[in-house]
Amino acid sequence: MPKLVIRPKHVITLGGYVVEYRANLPYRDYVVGNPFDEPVKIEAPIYSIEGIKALQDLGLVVEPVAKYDRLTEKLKKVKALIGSETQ
Amino acid sequence: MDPVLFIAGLILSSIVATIIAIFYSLVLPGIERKLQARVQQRIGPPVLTPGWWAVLKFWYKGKAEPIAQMPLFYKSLIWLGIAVVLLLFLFSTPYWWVVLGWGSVLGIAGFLKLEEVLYVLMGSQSQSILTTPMPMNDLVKGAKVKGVLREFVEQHSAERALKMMAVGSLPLYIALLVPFVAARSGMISDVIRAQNPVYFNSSWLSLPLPSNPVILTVPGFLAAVVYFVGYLMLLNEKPFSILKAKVDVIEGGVLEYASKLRAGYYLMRNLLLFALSSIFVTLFIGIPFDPFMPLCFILNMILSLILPIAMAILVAFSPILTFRQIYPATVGLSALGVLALILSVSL
Repeated sequence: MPKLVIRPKHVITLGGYVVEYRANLPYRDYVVGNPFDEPVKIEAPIYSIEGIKALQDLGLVVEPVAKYDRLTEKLKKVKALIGSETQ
Repeated sequence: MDPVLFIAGLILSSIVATIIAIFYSLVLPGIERKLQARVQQRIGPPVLTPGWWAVLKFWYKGKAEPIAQMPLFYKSLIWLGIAVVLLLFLFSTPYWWVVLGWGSVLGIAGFLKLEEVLYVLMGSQSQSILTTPMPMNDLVKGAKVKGVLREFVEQHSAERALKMMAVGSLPLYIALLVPFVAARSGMISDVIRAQNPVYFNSSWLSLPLPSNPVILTVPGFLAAVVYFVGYLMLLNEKPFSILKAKVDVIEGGVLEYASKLRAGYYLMRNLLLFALSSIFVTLFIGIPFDPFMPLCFILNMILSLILPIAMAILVAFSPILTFRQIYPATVGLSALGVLALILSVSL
């Protein structure tokens, strides 16, 4: 099963890593932030809602993005939540 | 025809064909990526993003100087590539059929080979900071292997491009011959005359349909299959994307192209995507891209969706083959192409 590594204090979006037509997730996309000072390995692609729960169980900050949300705002929010200095 | 009138028609038809080709070729990658995503049960990007918006986005970015052995030469390769692919496409349009014999199998094969050489040149030029001499072997004391050339990863990609150019794209050139052998001539006009004679005496608003397209014959169909796989090889698409495999050569020779140069590279690649499928429709189905016959070129454009769609479906499933698989695949396809060639003699 392929894995994805999120570097310390970094933020990614799951867009492109979610198999939307199988997972049928309630949101359009998810912004994931790594609050720790060490890299974290996550499962990709995401096939179901359990995949999202697994990210939360790892302690990552997971912010859902609804259809008409602004992605840039969500990215800024998660960066603030994990105290990231990266732009 | 009066020479001045002819030259005016040539220039006008080239401008019209170029504008349509550029606009249309920037929609094809979106269709391709959307199809790939649906095969993988994903939503995929919006249709205009991979083509249109990507080119506009890169064009808008600030100047970025590539690190290369000869930067000016390295940068000029992109514009040369766009010119080569555009001319390749224009040669298949009717006005160019009578210009210096370029509208022939030699014109097309020659410019395709020229396009392939560009990847070798790009790879040998690019020296990206990402791959600042990646040691082939570790330099730690005791681990050093004497006399081993340390090279940039892009040069490794150039060697692969050379192999792909020498061996990989052979099937496409064999398949390209079949319509010409069937028409007993090296000129595109004769290929069209053999498949779609009505075209030559129809008015500009009519839609001349081919009476016996070569793709509906056995050799024609075999050659079409070989042409399709050769199409993948020439576009360096999966499963034949070994020269830009992300795993080891990251992006290959195009790694150092940024901002406007990358926009140019996208334009070149997408134009090739369209040009090769439009040439396929012209040669194998007998409907040329005639800029002065709207219904004709629209039908050519619609039918030139066949190859990108088939490619998107295949790419969605396929891994990246190494040369250990590419060589046998090439030999097998070339044999199939030669069989089609022999059979087409009997047409």
